[in-house]
Amino acid sequence: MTSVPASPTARPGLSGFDLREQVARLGVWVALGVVLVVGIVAVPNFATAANADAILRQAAVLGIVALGQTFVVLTGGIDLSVGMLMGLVTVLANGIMGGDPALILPIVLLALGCGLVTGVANGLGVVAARVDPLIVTLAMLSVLQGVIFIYTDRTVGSAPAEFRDLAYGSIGPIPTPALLLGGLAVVCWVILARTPFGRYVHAVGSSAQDARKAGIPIDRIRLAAYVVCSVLAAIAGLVLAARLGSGFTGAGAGFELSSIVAVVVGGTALSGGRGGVAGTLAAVLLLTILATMLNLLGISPFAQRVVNGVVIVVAVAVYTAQRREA
Amino acid sequence: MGPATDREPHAPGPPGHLDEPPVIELRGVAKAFGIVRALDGVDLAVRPGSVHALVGENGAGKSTCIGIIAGVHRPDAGTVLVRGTPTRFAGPAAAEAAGISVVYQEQSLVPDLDVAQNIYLHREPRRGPFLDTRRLYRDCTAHLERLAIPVAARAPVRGLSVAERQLVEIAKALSRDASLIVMDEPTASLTSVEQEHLFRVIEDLRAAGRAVLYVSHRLDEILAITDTATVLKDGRLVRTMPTAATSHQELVTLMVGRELVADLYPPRPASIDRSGPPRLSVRDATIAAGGQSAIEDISLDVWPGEIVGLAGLIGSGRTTLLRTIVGVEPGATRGVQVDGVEVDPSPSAAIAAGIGFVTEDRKLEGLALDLTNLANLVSTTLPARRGVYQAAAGRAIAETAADRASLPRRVLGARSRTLSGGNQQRVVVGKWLAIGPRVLLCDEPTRGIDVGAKADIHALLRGLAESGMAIVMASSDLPEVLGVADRVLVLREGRLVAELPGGVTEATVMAAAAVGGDTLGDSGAAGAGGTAGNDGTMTAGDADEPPMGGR
Ligand SMILES: Nc1ncnc2c1ncn2[C@@H]1O[C@H](COP(=O)(O)OP(=O)(O)OP(=O)(O)O)[C@@H](O)[C@H]1O
Ligand SMILES: [Mg+2]
Repeated sequence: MTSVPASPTARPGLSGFDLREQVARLGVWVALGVVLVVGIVAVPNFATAANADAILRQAAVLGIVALGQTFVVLTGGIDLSVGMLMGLVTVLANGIMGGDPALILPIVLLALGCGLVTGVANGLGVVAARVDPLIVTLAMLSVLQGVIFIYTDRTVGSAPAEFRDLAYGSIGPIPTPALLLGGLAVVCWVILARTPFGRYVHAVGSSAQDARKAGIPIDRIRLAAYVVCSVLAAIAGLVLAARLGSGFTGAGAGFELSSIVAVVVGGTALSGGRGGVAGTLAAVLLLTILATMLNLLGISPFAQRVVNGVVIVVAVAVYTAQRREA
Repeated sequence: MGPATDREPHAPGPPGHLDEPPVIELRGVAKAFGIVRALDGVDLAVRPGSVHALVGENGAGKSTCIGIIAGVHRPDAGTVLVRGTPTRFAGPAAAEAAGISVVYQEQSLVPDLDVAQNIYLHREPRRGPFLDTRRLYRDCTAHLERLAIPVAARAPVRGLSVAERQLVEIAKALSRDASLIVMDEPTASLTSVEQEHLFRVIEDLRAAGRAVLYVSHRLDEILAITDTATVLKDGRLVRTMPTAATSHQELVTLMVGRELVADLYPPRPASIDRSGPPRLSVRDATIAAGGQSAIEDISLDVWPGEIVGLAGLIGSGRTTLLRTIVGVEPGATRGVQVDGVEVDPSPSAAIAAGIGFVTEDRKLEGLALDLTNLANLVSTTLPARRGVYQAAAGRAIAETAADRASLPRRVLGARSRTLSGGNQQRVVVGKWLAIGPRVLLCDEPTRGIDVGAKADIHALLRGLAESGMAIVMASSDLPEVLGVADRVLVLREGRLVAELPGGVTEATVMAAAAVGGDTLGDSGAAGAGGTAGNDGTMTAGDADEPPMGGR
């Protein structure tokens, strides 16, 4: 427009700002590295091919659901219904298939359909009814639990061998579920980092009012995030069904919390706006490896829940402290 | 702005292309928020090639009017016409599609995205279904260069100063090739260099046949750059007239509804007693970050009863210095004493020592927007007995603070978000008055405040000083600094480069603030001798420039 001499160059941002950003982004990778080294050096039977294989298989279920949770948390929301949705998918899949491989394709479609419906319902509750996501998804959790118990009150059905390959097969040296997780993670990363939709997910979570002023359809973005989350949870439910081999009604319990733990430990702000799936993936590996180590050291699996609880508070405290200074 | 303005007024251009239909027209528009009638039957027409001023007191409805034009608010009654066609905007996206772009008063940048991502938000360059990141940064850098805005395209918005964000907000609005650009107080945190620059941009827009709707409380700006002015009062249209046919005095009278002796700064005391110990003493405040220091070796003393003004361009370190004094800048080294007692670098220590800090950035730091005004006003004091909050005491404190900041008591129960921008500023000022500070640091204390209330705040600051408080005031509104302060410290690139008495000319200060200060020569620093400069607090400035204080 005009060529006026620039006013003196402003100093770059606040001092040290970038460093802190880097810590927030890389902290989880450093922790992952430390835990790996400790495991390899100090934990017997840790550094074995069998253990690596087991860790990757175990990480897949949590990883896939945590990818979806990342979308919702980035928009500033939260989804407590993912665990119960995984449980429903497990029960329905194994219950309906009853060992019949011909039903695999219909079951996959049914699971994705369940995800779609749940996601749309959650999303509408949040954006159309304007109810707090905590309440909406807690209510959804209750609804899904009801549906599970209407369908059955005991462990039902079984998974055909072909279906169980989803959890126990390998493609080349790589476990199938890990490959699925990797593929989905890449897709999610591309969506979040390289598409307008991903940009808007961040913008809505960072400041919904301002995103709206820029013309972003914030309701549609939020709705879409819940749909992505539920569909991924349904896929995680399928892997879980293959892993368990039968329709256990309590299969999905705890995944709502552990997926949120993974997202937060991975550096995504609970208030939305910053973070991404790379950190979530690292956190999933970190949590899975921690659990395996506790296992190998003969510590009760229930202690792992204590660890989960402690880890989330520590992670949030660390990230919040950084943010307060920034 | 004060009478000391030495900027040359831009010649008002032709009064728009009268034959073309208005880009935007409001007819009988009304809007209420609950029981508050923010707008009531307002008519407004902005023509291509015109710079149209919208003025009024705080809460008069200017921003609401803009919200309706921008599709943020939907009118309860009345019609909005775009180029003669009645239109109902479904949302901001629809207004944008109609060629309307807005510089929002409270800024609309998304803090977690960077500058380029914000400027092109929702209009990202794409390659197929993907973002074209390279083109985004290339376009953005070119755009910022064209506007001579010294901000990096990749800088995260969260780390920018308020003024930098203001510039980015302007760049964002100008990147949209809009036929109507609405600016809600675009200069509120800009210093005169950037203002000048913006005015030239506006002149270019006018020449290119665009329409500009311009809101400001700085009436001199209105008189200098606009050709038509519309005055609102209490949500109603008072009058629309050619700017050339009005005056500062008339605008004020129309806005306030009564005659007001505008632009009279409170009288300074004849002399200030600097024989005793200083109330606030700052020694060698430095932030060494990487190779570049944000501020370097700044020392100053402020005596009871004194108002010290901080002047300087954007990025000169005014805000950083104040933040360093209250102990919220990480990595700073400094010695701060209040009445001879050392103050630790933490906000709670600062409050305990009686340092109040009116922050510049009310949206992010100054106010909890979703709390009530009462809660915000008592947030600095929180009267409690045995850990239980004392509601009655809190209300009393809030009421006193509201009165002192001339905020109407009836809004105490409302959420701060529902206040107009200027009234939010009064809450920020009020909450620091509540602690009964011994030292008051003010960063842009009158940002976005209307003329009448501005004079109130100036009088308030003077009154507080007279009661023994030591006040440091940073402001980008130079006439204000010169009119109110007893002493003016000029910062440039993080250093204290000059100390001048209050009441020197703007040119004197600008010369010191901008480059060497060597142009200063005979432009009126005379008479500076008496005030300070002999108390040893002043750094003489860089070796290559003459000391400017005592001549
Ligand atoms: N979201 C809201 N909810 C409730 N009341 C509101 C809201 N927005 C504005 N108001 C009220 O509407 C009136 C007009 O406000 P507006 O922001 O338009 O004033 P303004 O002229 O822009 O003032 P300023 O100069 O202080 O920016 C005020 O009384 C304000 O409190
Ligand atoms: Mg306003």
